[in-house]
Amino acid sequence: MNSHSELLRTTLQDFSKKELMHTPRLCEVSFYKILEKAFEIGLFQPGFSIKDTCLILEQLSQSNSSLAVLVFSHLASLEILSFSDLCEASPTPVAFSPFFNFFESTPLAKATLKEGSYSLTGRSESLLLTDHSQHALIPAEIGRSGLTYFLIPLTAQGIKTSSPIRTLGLQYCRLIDLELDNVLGLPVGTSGEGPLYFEQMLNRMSLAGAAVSLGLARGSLSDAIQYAQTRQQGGREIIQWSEIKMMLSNMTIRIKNAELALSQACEAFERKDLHWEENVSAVSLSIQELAPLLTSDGIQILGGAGYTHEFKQEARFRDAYQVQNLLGSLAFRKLRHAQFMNIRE
Amino acid sequence: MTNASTHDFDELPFGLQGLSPAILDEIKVAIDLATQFNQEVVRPRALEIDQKVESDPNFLPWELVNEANRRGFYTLWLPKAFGGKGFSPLSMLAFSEKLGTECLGIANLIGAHYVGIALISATFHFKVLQRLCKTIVDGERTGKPCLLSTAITEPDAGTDLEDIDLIDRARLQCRVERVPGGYLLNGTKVFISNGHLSQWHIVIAHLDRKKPSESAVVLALYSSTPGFTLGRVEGKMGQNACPASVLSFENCFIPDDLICLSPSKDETPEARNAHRNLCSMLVDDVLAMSRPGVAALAAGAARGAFQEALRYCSKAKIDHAPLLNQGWVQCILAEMYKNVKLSQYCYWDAGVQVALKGPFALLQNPFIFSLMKVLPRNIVMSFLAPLLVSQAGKESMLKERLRIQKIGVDKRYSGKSSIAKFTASDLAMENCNLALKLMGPTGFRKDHRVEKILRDVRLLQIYEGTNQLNHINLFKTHILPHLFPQLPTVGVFNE
Repeated sequence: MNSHSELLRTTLQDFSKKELMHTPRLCEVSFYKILEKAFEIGLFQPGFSIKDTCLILEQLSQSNSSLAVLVFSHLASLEILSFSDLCEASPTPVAFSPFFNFFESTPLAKATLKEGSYSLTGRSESLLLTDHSQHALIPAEIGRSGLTYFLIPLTAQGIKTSSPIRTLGLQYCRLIDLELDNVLGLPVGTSGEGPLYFEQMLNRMSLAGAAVSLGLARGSLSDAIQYAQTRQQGGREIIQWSEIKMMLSNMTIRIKNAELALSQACEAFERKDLHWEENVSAVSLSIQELAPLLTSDGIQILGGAGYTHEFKQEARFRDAYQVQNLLGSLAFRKLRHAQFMNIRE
Repeated sequence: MTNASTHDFDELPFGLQGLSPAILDEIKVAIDLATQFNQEVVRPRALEIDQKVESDPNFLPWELVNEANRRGFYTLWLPKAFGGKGFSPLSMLAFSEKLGTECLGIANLIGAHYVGIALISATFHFKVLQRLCKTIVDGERTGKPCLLSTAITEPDAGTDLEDIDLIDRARLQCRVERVPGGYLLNGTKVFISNGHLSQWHIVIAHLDRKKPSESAVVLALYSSTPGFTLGRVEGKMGQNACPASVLSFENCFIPDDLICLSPSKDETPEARNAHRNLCSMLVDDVLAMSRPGVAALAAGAARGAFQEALRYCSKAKIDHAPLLNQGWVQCILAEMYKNVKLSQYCYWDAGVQVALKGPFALLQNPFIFSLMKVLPRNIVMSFLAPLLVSQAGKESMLKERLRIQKIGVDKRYSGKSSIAKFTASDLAMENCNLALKLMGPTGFRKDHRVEKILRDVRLLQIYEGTNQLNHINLFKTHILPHLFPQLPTVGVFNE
């Protein structure tokens, strides 16, 4: 690891230790104070290499994956906005759905051109909102096949924001649905190129999504080892029992493999090696699929205690399932991965 | 969605069609009761109760407890001799599965009550059982529910207390001491299902914490006993309708007539060994009876996840065509269906073994079962109850239990119960994984039920002995004695 990355890792570890190593449940007010601090130290800034982005997200995710997903969502939205000159139009994080995939779902919002401006009607689901959000970046359909992203101001007339949607995990992420009734929006880039922009964002940010999953697994393993070294059953620390040792060993091996694969995939992406897209897709899918299984083992090591809010294991387990759906469901992304087999032939 | 799939899952495995008609009828009645409860109470309220507890961990679902009481669920499986309705444990499995399709927390709330009944029954101290059953029956009549909880787990001893081979190494802090007229109880129990909802707490504590396997005491403590306090309700990931409580005991006096099992005052090695053997049988029997119940809950949850996946797939489209047309979706749904069926086979296999070969097999004898069904309750109470509570009755049941131990049948049903528990709970988790895979980002929204089923199911792999402990129990009861009899030095927890 070079000195820049090492400095970044140290900064993150200090930040995590100081701000995130609390009792497992923060109140919402405390979390949003931490979010402010994350902004201040530049964690939401674009311009990091993909390797450093993954480092940031993985480190954050070990302690608090809600924060990691907020950073992820912001960076993903900036990737989309970079295809236009709209970044300055929205200096603060936009409300954006990091779960939407153009190839899986048809947008629920329709856009029509009226007097030179686009007017949107319909719905947009599961957008991540922060206190700072002034705009939303949402997918919409123009006519039958013009899939496009649009930037809309959240205070525009015709927008109805739902109350926060309760979800399985990511308890500090505020997810909302929007109902739109003739809301004026600015198209991002060229109309109809939404899927292309999404795909280019996916190629980079899928590695970042994998990093969030890896962080969850790492955090779970770390807490499981710590617990197993102190908890006694059968007259000894449970880590001395071979079955527990085996479970922890399996977790360690799989996480190490994931870490190596992610690192290599990041390098392949940066160098644009032959078949880099296939590598990126394969690695990110396998890591995102693995995290729920590993965090489940992390609960099992702690037994009944792991199932309670007193420890972070159950939250990691829930988060891992939700994070699995970053940038679309695993199943559809796997089906899409099949395209690489055609290229090989 | 049609009723066809529901009907198919409600059919018993083919091999069970040979059970007596009276039991089969009763199973149908139990399924109907659960179905009605699901439609009228569970489905409309389960998500709301789950979310209420998430926002307020001290919320207790009294309305639900009262409704289950009004419907007679706390006496349905009490012995007819003691005022209950005398339903067979087999019908309880079907009932639990059906309830489990909608909410594991609510199903566990009712099931945990009967774990307490099973524990007292396994001590063969039917006088105490009779007394407790009377209060439960009275509770149904007066509209003031009387539930039982079973208090075994301690802060430093969980797995340790679920296997006789571990218990002597446990770090126990809960203790009893003999005093004139009874026992004094001190200590804390944790993760006690229904703790905050129960009037009776069936506690296992120990006289000699250096040799707990030889000195276990099983007692019934009433909630108003001086010195007894309820601690916090544990904040759990799921099964929120069933609170898991901390119970604290400070010099709680339990009179002799509420002691179900205790070591004899004779301190000879023979007496201590005999008591150890009784405790071993007790733990094995209670777990053998409860584990198929957990497996039934798991089968219900696996079914619930499958039904939610079906519901989703019946409406979802891809490229404007039904998602159900996709082969990969069809394969996943088939896999989920198979998982439900396998879970059912497992729990029925174990449940029938325990019922027909276990310590209370006589009550499942077709003739006796049918006779009990037709005889009026007051007649059964008049002639059977005095027999059961007598010393002769207790000794005769114990003799039968020792006979079962001698021929090794108890090992068989213990192992089968473990298989059922870990298999069904793993398959239920698998179904939740598959449902979430199918549903993608829709699946993790709380207005869909699958995320709750996932959270609820996860606990099934932990309680009634972790799945790892159940694997070891299977090795101990089936594999070691039958496949490695020539290796007497091999044992479990011997590393």
